[in-house]
Amino acid sequence: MMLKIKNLHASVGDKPILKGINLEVKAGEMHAIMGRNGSGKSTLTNIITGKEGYTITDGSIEYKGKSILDDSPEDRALNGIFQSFQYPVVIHGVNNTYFLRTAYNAKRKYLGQPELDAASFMKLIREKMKLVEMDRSYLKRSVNDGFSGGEKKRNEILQMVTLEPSLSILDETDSGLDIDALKIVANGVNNFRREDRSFIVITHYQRLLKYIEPDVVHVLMDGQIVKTGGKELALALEEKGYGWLDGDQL
Amino acid sequence: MNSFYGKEFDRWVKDGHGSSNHTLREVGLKHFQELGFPTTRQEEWRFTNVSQLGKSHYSWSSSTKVDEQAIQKLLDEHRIADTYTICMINGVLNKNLSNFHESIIIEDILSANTDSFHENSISTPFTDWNTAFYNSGLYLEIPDNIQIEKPIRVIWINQFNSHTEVVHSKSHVNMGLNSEAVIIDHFLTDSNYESIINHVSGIQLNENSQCEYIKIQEETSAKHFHSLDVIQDANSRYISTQLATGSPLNRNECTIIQQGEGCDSKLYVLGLQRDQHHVDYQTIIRHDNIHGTSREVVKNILRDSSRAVFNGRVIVARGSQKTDAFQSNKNILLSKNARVNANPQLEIYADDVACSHGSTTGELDDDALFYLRSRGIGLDEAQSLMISGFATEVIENISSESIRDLFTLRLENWLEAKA
Repeated sequence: MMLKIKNLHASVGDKPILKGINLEVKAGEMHAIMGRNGSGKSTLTNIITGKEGYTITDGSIEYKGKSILDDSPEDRALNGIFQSFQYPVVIHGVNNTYFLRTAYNAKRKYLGQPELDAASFMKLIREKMKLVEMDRSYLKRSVNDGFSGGEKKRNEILQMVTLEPSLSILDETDSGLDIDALKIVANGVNNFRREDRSFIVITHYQRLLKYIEPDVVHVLMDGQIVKTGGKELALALEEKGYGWLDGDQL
Repeated sequence: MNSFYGKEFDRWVKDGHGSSNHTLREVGLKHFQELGFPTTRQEEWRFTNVSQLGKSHYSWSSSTKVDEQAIQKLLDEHRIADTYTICMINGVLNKNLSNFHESIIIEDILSANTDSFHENSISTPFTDWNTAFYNSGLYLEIPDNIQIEKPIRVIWINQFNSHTEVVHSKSHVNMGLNSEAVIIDHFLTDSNYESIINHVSGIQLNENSQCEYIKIQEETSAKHFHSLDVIQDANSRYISTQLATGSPLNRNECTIIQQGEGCDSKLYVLGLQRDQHHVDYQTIIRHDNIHGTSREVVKNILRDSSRAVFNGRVIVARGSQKTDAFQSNKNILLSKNARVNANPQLEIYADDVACSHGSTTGELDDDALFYLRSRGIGLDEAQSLMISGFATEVIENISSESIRDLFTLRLENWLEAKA
């Protein structure tokens, strides 16, 4: 089992956000978690990757059979958990290539492999960039500085294919993308799929799921998974809207 | 205090010093005695307390014996590739330890008449003190139409033998018409005394000249006071990058006056502070003519109980149309006990101008730190990466690679010494 979440309850301050999440993701699977704004999608992502500011009041998260709740964000990343951010952060003055190489070498070091020098890494990253059709000029800039929405998302997927995580969580990767960029990003993800790699695609709309086909679709509402089904669930949601599942608002 | 410095002056004159500009010196002494050291009741000294200085008697250290072996060692330790060297020891030129291009004119400041240069600047107790007692100094001229490619590094080495000594040093740079040069003031000391360096300098940029001025202040225990006046004639370019790596007290007063039209002034400062160190930048950029541009970026990174003060004024005079001025002050606090007092000011008396300014002080951005950590980069390395990124905006403006490397090395040393 890649990821096993049991009865997860979490709050921000006194406000409960997640109210008993149960989720199992097997190796090789592509899951989609759909939900409206404020349903708890981003909180769930952040808690899996270890962002501070949340209190876990009940439940557990196991990754590859071990609890990760006490692990730092960097340890989770080194163990193979990756998040593609909804809003990738701009880091002024830090060269994108240098950043990518630092992250890549942190992983090499963790795996007990020798670090790559600048020239060898350059060769590697140029190959990886082809997978997301990214222009080389983005290597010279500061991290995400002056990148368009689409370029930021490509840069996220570039990091994913470079760091080769086992579990990738793509948080609203489709937001801010035009149709061409969406296809490129989806293509990058699809080519990266493998039987030992799992994915969770977090999204509001069904749009991205046309290009990245999920094995399982979950609907998150008010901090709970209210429905789980196959890819046809996404289509039903698209057609009927979230109100379909939201008894109170029918 | 009054009687001590009066007697000190008489003794100094009796020893054969201060024969030039005697009247000016007496005026300086009189002002200094009347004003005394500033107090925090004075607005421009509100956050920098020097009142302790009045409790000691500082005597001029120029007569103390210079240790040449120690100086050679210091020079070896601070070698920078591809630069000319002008070595100033306790404010006096040492020709044996200097080497520079033959077209650069070097003289003792006493034989070049530069006193009128500072006439229009506001004197402070420290500049008055300097006027009374300075005994030598550097006059450096780049003649008309001469471009010097290699950076010229002026190394100010001050040696002290007690806590109560002061060096009053002085320099004047004259950039001829259409001339170009990179000039570095590098302040060093090998002694651990809490003495005083009281430096006054001027840079005159004649028409269409370009001066890249770099200052590296790395005295570790002495108190450093520096007053710098820059006067720019038409179409001249002044690009300054300064590094302050920490002295218990480092006060910089810098005034840039754009006298001619179409001048460009840039001032970048990087302060790296630790322990109880205190850095203070008081800057004035005066746009006195049309079509001037200026860009000022002052950045401080503070840890422990250190403190930074920034008081920056950009003044656009009446009629200085088409001025384009930008001023920014950014500070990162790495400790709860570090403090910043920032006061960015724009004074605009013309209507057709583009001016902006801002100041921010805060901790490292949590979201950015998390972003880096989520890629497997450890907390310490993530912080270092962000701090380096923050400093890059200053360092990247330096044209010379070897000087850029020196700034980067100092930054790395500072980061490593975190502990």
